[in-house]
Amino acid sequence: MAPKEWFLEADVVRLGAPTQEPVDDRRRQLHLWVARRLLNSVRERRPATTTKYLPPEQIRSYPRLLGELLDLPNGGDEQTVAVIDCSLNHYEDLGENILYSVALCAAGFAASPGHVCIVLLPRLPHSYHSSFWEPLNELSISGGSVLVLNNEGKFKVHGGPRPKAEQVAPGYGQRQQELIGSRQQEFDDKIIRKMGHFEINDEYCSRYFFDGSRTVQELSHLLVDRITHLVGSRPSLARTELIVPETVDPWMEDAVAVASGKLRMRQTKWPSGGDRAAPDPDEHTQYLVMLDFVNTGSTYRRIIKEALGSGYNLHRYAVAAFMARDFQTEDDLPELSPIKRVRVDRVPRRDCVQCKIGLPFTNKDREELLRLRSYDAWEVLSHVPWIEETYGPPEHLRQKSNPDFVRLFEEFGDYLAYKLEMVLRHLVPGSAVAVACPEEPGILAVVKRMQPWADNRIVAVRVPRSVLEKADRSTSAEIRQLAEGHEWSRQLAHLAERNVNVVVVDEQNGSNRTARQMIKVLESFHLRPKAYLPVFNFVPSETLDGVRVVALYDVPRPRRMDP
Amino acid sequence: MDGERIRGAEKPFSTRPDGWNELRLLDSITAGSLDTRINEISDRDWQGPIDLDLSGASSVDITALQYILALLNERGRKQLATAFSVPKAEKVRDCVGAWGFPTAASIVFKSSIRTLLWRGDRPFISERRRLYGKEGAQARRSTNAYARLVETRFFRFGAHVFNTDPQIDSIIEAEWSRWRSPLVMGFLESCLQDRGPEIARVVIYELLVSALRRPRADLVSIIPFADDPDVVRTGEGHLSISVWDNGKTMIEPLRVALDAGAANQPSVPAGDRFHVESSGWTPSVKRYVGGWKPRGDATDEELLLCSLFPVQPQVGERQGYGLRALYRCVIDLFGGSLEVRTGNQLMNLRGWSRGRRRTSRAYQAEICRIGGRQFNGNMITVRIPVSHGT
Repeated sequence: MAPKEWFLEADVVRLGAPTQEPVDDRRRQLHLWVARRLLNSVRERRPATTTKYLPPEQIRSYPRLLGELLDLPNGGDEQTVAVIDCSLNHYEDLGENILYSVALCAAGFAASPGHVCIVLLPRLPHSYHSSFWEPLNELSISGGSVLVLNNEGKFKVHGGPRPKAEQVAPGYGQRQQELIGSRQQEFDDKIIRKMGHFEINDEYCSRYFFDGSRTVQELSHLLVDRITHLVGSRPSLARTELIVPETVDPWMEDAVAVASGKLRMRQTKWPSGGDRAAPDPDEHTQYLVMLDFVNTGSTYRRIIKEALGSGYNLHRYAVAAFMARDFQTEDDLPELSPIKRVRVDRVPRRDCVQCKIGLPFTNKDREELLRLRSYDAWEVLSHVPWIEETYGPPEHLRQKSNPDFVRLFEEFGDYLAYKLEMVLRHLVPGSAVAVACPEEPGILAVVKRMQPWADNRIVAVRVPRSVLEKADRSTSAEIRQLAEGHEWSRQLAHLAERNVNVVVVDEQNGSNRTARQMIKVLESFHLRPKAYLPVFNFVPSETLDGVRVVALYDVPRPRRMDP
Repeated sequence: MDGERIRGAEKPFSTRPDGWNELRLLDSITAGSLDTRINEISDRDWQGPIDLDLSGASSVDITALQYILALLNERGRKQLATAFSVPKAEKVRDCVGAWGFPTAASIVFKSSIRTLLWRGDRPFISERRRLYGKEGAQARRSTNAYARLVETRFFRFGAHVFNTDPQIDSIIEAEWSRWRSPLVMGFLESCLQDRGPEIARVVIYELLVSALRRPRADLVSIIPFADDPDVVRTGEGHLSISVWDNGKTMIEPLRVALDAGAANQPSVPAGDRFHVESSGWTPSVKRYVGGWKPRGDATDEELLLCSLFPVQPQVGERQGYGLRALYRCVIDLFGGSLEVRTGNQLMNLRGWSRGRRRTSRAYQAEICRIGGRQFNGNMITVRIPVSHGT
């Protein structure tokens, strides 16, 4: 007789998000994979298609709502496996009341025989003090069971017939890691290549400055891995100290402090010059030089020269967070091992165009301008080919010559997303915010860059172009009817219900047409956008239909024709 | 003459010719010593203008400064003329400045710092500004996470005013991001190992949310303090976190509910046991064990103990969580202690041990009744032993 089939029901829980979001297909596959490793013959009955979210005010006042949100079946004859996936949240965000609520849901569901609940958490809560385990410890062996898995594949099983958790654990950690991305990927995603006119030293200027301030956590992990790899054995690590210039960027200083704390390694701050001498070296210690950025290499050479002159025993490697792609380590110096090689566009001062036209230096620590500098905007616009528009408005209204925004955002998306986020935070400080945009590749790529910086709490509502086109001629009721059953309409309804601030973003504003359509769609859900933020605005104005307009850069078209 | 004081040799309290009362807070200032000193003042003098004079302090701890914030807020609310004088001893003066006490004082008193500082002490503001400007301009020298936290002024008062839900959201957001910064997480991991993340997840969350939800509260002040690993010789030190709010005492809502005959009183959670040591009052039972609920004749001290426990909701009501997650985490996981100061009560809660052995889920609560003036609001302080592993 064929084994009885199991039915899978899954939920992805997101804490602190202002509304729901679609669940990645790969995550659904992960749920199915876990269930199938655990049980024979599993079929999806209710896969997780959108996230279940708890906004901040509900987390602190009414966390039991989670039970109502998840709505897991109780009883019934069918064999059911439920996945409660909380693994996308930071462990620190999962307060005791939330965890207890998750455990109550899991235990309530698993009280029936033939029910298995899989709880995915970023970490396993402490087994003694956390109330998470209390409802699970009370599960009877005659009922179902609960498997709790953390992102590394560690697990605990409670309740009745024990599922074969050992078969899940090894592959699960790796699969989660693939979905979350490697540390190096996370680091790369969070770096911002700032544009401007940066002073490297007395001889050179640079077009770019690499800002690692949003990736201290990832950088510290990568530094630990790199140092461990370069130095090797535990005794060697114990005999190693770091030499760090005393004037590195604050984010590097934080990352080094965290990394040296993890490695229990001391660090020596190397004087930046003047009459202060370096401390005397310890004869039993080997010193590893660590820098934030190696561009021309002058600081690196100076430190090595001074350290060797003072009798320091230097390691044969040195580590840099960033290193200019064209920098070559000289033979007699320790070999530089960078976390990331980057193109810096370094120019000698005498050849620097920005110096020639008298542009002031850019402050690398503090962004002084909210919007783009003209020099940067035009570099961005002229860097990519101008082509006929391939998406957006109907064909007869498309521009014959328009920047290739997909390529533009591939190249400059990090900085433009950073600037857009700055404007967003300036307009809607400190509160939950959602962004609404046309469902088009360019602007979605920019929004995607912004999301990890805000712990994915900036939710994007993607409105399809087909709806926007009909919005002109439709009433609010007709728009809501068009939207019925679609994910974005549920998102807008939730946002309106909770009175969340919504900002409309777009890659460009060519004629106010799409902007008006977006505003109309939002208003049909009783949402008044807080602002409209196009990256480039070819129809500059301060407001549009009463909505504030702030573009990263205004480019008035000399002969504009309104449709 | 501005700033001139008339000092009696030993008198802690004197009145100046201009009518200002000078309350001298001398030597080592703690919340306990403040209790004693405040209660020495007559009600009549208390209503007059007072200079809280810290100039003779040889040390001051964070709970004492929280206590002074509570006093300033109370006096500010009643519009009683108040000033404070900064310590003269350089080390104490530096601490008070670096912890951002003057700014927090001006927020809770709802007045500018210039008006709140005793006249002769006003140069303190420009002196601090110069000092921080100089520090900022100087090259950075910190060589570990603790030093970096000191340098970036993590150990300082965060005083927040709140009246609306969005303000509460932004306070939680601000404190969460402060406690979840990689540097703070790295520091906590280095001294608490894999238990480090529980500080942000449980301790900060529970302390903050309980303060923000307190009836009639519109102010919260939070300050962390950790012993310097380079100074702690044995490698053992403490991390202290103190949160104060200006709401109703933790006892009041329970008393009101009890008087109204509400059925859903908080009760000692099953499996937990509380051994109470009393001072100034008499407990009704020897040990408070799982299921114990207060009756109508419960003392304020018993109600204070009960404020720690969860309330099982009736149909349609929301669950009250009490501070169970907090005391279990602080005491059971970290082996620390928790101190509550509210109304006329002081409670110190720690693990109960028989001989050398810590007994599971058994707690020792020292609860004192303190006569005299009621403390303004609620102050909860946790102390967690940390090992710097030097």
